[in-house]
Amino acid sequence: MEIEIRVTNDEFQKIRKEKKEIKRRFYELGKLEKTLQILEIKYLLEKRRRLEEKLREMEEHYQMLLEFSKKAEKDKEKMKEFRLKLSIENRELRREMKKNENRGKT
Amino acid sequence: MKIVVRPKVGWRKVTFQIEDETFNQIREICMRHGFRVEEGIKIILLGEFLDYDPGEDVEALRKEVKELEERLYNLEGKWSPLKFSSYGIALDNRNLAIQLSGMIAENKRLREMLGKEKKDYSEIEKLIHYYLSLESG
Repeated sequence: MEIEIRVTNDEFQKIRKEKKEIKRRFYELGKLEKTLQILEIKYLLEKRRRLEEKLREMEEHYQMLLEFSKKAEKDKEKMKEFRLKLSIENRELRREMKKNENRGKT
Repeated sequence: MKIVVRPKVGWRKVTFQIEDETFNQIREICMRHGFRVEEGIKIILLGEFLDYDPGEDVEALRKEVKELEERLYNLEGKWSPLKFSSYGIALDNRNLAIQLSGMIAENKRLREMLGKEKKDYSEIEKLIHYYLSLESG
């Protein structure tokens, strides 16, 4: 079995020079474990920061939407009530107009 | 296991031979921390080891990130239906506003023709204006 690793030219030169030392490093797995743990922590800290930021933004938007929804529901009732009132009033006014018009004709 | 290192440009290569058991150990360590085995091997090749106390507990952090992801997921689940229903109410209110605006105009005209006193519609006109100015998209 074989695994291929691609590196930059500078990295390749470094690896060629340190071949002996690298052979030894393959058995220092404690160092690798520690390194990857630190890198994972760095990654998790960044991920936590991004998630917290996104969550904060979304909670803010959600709250705004919730308030808008409540207000819109109230406004809807208010406008419906007003429409009914106005519809009755306009009907009465039209009737009055008609009455006036008829009175004018006679 | 044979590890072949090649530069991005050029035909040369450096080869390392390691025992399969060591390779498997490297792979396990990488997987445990969410890295690909190639990334782990590259760290070994370049000797880019880190050694300091990060001051954080990896297990606690993983748990915290998972909880945040769950909270975000739950919020997204609540957010979408609310957005949908709010859009529906806003649309209803827009239609109501259009109707009302016509009815108010008629009312004003009839009152004027009948010589009746003007009424104050400023409060409801504010609502009408608000819903008519909302973007319909």
